[in-house]
Amino acid sequence: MLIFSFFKTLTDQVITVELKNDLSITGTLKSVDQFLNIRLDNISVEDPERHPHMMAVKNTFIRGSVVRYVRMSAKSVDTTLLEDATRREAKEGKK
Amino acid sequence: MSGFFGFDAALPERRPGQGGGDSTRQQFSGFQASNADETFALSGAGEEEDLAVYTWGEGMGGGLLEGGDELNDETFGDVGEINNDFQFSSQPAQQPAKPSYTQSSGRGPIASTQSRYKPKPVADPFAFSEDDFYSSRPSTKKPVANKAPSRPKAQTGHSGSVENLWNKPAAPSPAWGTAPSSLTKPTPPPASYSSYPSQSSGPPGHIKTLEEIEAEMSQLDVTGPSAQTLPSQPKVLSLEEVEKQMMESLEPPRQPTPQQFAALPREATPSTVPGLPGSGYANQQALLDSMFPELGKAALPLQHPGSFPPGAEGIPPPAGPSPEEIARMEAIHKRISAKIESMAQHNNLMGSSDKDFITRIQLSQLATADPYTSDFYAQVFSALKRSRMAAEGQGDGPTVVPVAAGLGLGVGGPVGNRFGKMGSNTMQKLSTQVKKLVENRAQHQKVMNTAALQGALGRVTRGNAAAPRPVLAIPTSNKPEHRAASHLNEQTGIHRAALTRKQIMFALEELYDAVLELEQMRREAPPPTAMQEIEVWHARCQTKVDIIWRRLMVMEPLDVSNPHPFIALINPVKGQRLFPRLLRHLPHNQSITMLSLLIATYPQLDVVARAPPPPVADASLLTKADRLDRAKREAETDNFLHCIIPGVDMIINRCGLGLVAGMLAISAQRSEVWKVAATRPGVALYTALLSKAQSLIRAPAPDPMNPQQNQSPDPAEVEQWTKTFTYFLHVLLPHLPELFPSSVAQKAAFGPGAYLLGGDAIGEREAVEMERREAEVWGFAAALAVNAAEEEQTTLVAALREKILHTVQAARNPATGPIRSEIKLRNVNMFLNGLGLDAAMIE
Amino acid sequence: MDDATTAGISEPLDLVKLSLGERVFIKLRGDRTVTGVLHAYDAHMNVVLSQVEETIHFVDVTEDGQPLPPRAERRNVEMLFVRGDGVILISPAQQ
Repeated sequence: MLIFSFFKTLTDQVITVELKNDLSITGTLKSVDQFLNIRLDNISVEDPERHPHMMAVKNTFIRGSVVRYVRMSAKSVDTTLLEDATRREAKEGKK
Repeated sequence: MSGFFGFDAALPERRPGQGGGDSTRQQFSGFQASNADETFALSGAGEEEDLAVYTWGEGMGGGLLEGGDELNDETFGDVGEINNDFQFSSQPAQQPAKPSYTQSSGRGPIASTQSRYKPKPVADPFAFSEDDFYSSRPSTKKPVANKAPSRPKAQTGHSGSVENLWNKPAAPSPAWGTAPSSLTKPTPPPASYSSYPSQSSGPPGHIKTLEEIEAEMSQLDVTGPSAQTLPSQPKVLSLEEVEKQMMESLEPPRQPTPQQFAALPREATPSTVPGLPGSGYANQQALLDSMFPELGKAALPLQHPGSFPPGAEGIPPPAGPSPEEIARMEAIHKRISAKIESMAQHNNLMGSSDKDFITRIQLSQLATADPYTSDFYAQVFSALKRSRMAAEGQGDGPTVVPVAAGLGLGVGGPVGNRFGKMGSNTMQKLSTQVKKLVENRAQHQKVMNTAALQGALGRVTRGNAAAPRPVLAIPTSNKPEHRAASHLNEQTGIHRAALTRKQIMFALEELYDAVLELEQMRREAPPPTAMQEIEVWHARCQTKVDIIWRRLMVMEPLDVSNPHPFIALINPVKGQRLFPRLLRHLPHNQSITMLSLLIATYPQLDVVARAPPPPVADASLLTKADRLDRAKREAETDNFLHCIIPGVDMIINRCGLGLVAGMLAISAQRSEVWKVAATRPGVALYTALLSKAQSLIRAPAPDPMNPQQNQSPDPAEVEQWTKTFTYFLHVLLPHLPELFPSSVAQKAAFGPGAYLLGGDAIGEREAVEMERREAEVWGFAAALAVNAAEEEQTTLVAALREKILHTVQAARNPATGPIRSEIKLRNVNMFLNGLGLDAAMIE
Repeated sequence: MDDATTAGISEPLDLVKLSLGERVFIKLRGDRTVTGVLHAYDAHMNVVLSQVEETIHFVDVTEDGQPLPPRAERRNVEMLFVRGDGVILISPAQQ
């Protein structure tokens, strides 16, 4: 749940989702679930010429399993807290 | 009531009508389960409901698609064989064994559903369905076992009501007769009914079930004729079943049928799970399967509601009930099919209750015992954000505010860090410190003779600055441990290899875990009223602190290894970040001990021993590894200044003059101060020490937090400080100009003395950053100045004269940007003001 | 000392934990590698990194099938989530 929790804090932030087929979609994160499926609004595609079929799409739901990376602003992440949360989770997992 | 019995005779027909056979029944039961028994028990009133439910069920059956079955398997596991058991009709080959199964299956699953649903009113129906979802696979594997237990239950459940059932079915009959009025659409009457037979022939599964029913109804005699019309094998089976049923129950052969029949509607009614009516096929199917894994597959063949009716039609004639009954049955079927049609239009839509259902499943998946644990990051993150917003009073709007909107500084890559907020933060702190001192000093000086700088610094030792008495041996009362430790070390010869990186990392993780636990404990402080609990809590916290203290390894002998274990811990960035958090929990004396150790082993710090080299004019000359290494060192230094120095400042601020003097002495004693002072962490440390000493001597604002600190400092301590400082300055003086990063840079680039040639090859941004760093050193020089005695000040100025002149000239050079020249002037003035001078006085 | 140190390490992810807050090297499917400061990980090997440099390795082939010398494309990202199903290995970055 750590990563899910992490993504929840990115809600309403602009992120870029890079899919495993090299399609990169930038948009506002509207929601995420525990499978890390992602809903993006106001999307734009990094390389529209290669993906003309995406031109007309304004918002999208991305299945979590097709995601390779998600890029985000460093400002939107509290790294110290995130590390603590990771440690907590690691400890929980061991119990 | 007689009519009821007459109806009973019809019932068999009705079954055939359901003809879908067992599978259809199962479906019904699955969906209608919720209202189940009660509705049925209500007799007359309930009958309408039953009808409705029943139709509903059929509607469901109609909506079923064979094609979707594979999905069920994927989702709920392969139930294939089990299904076979239940589909009497579809797989004749297995018949011999089936009879027993069929009975059990016919009743068993239903019975089990009933048993499941009986507790329903008490328990949450959803819980059941969900359990079933997850348990479906295992359950499918042992269908037989399940059936056996379920069967008795079913019987017992019904047994009490058997008579009632008989009566009730009868009762419903009138209701059904009237039902048309209650039902919205009686429209599709016999036509559909008649059509059934033809369809029935198509799907073998249905036929078989029908046959079974027929067989049951007509008993052995009847089966003969029905068998002719329908495939022989299925019929045989059904007959066998019927026989067995008959054998089992002493009651007339019909009993089984009524029982089954009764069971169906009952279950059906209850099973009408709230949300499901409107839900699409998939949902229904899924739910059904989950609830009755064994039945799930049987249900598949039943796709068309119309299909069973045909079977039914075929059957009734053989049964030979009265034409009235047939008419009734037809009417019922009309109503049923009408209802089905009316329901069917909602087949693929989700009702609000369906959504509810799904939401609840999702929620239950998310739910954990402790949301704070599983959602720690998001919870704390938003809490922090909220508090930050509150603190800043941001009117950023009701929506979620972009995180860290207040910290406008974007941290780029490693390169960005170098000029990032950390450096400037430290700079600000230092410059305010120095500024305060200088202002103080300026006030004093108003009374003094500025030119002579007389007595500006209070008591001044008139020692010979050139050849000061060695003051190094100052034993500070506060440092016995260290001395003892190092002695011990020498005596016992304890030496160890430095910790490996992995050991360091492991130790750090242990520390982090301990600190996290401690922080959690602190948050869970008992209410202040519970005295006892508080004591316990304090004790627990203290144990934790002790553990942390031990893991910090501060008390290891001073020279046990190089670097000292404690230094090894705060060398990595990770350890540095932990430092301020640790400090919060350590008692004063322990933090003093820690600081003493830190100062004594300062040269072992990575950021001192491997300080980043001066910047080069042309970065392109560097190899990539070089650049990375520099970036890494810069980042470490920034981080050190950001994480450790504030803590150090804090500890120093709580020290008395004696302690401060002692610490400076330790540093001077154990390290080559000019090397340490040539690094930013060194400059920061010394500036903090010198500033604190001076403010203590002046005692401008006695610190109420620290009782040790008096308005008038102990003369002995002042004396001690003076001696220490004199020595310190003496050692440092020859190297003073080299402390400035600009000097170092240019010396590195062009050789000694080159700093006089104003090489400005570097870009504006780097240049400004360079000035910032210069400021740190100027601040240090100013701290030296305010601490220096009169003659010392003279020598100080002499040592820095060239640097001062050069800086002032550069500031006045029109080629220098306005920002830089302003910074340069400010830097120089920081120092000159400390002496009561100003750059403007320089010609 | 070493025994005491390794005593607490019972599973592979414990080693990853040691790198929390430190720079790590991650090899990914599709001839990609990333280095970055590790801020979070979970049992799926999902990770969150900052100060990331991603490298994609190519081996181009000439028309007659001869491999050309390998080349690499690099990208920098300030904050990156990497989905765990692409992760092959995680190790501390070379110091």
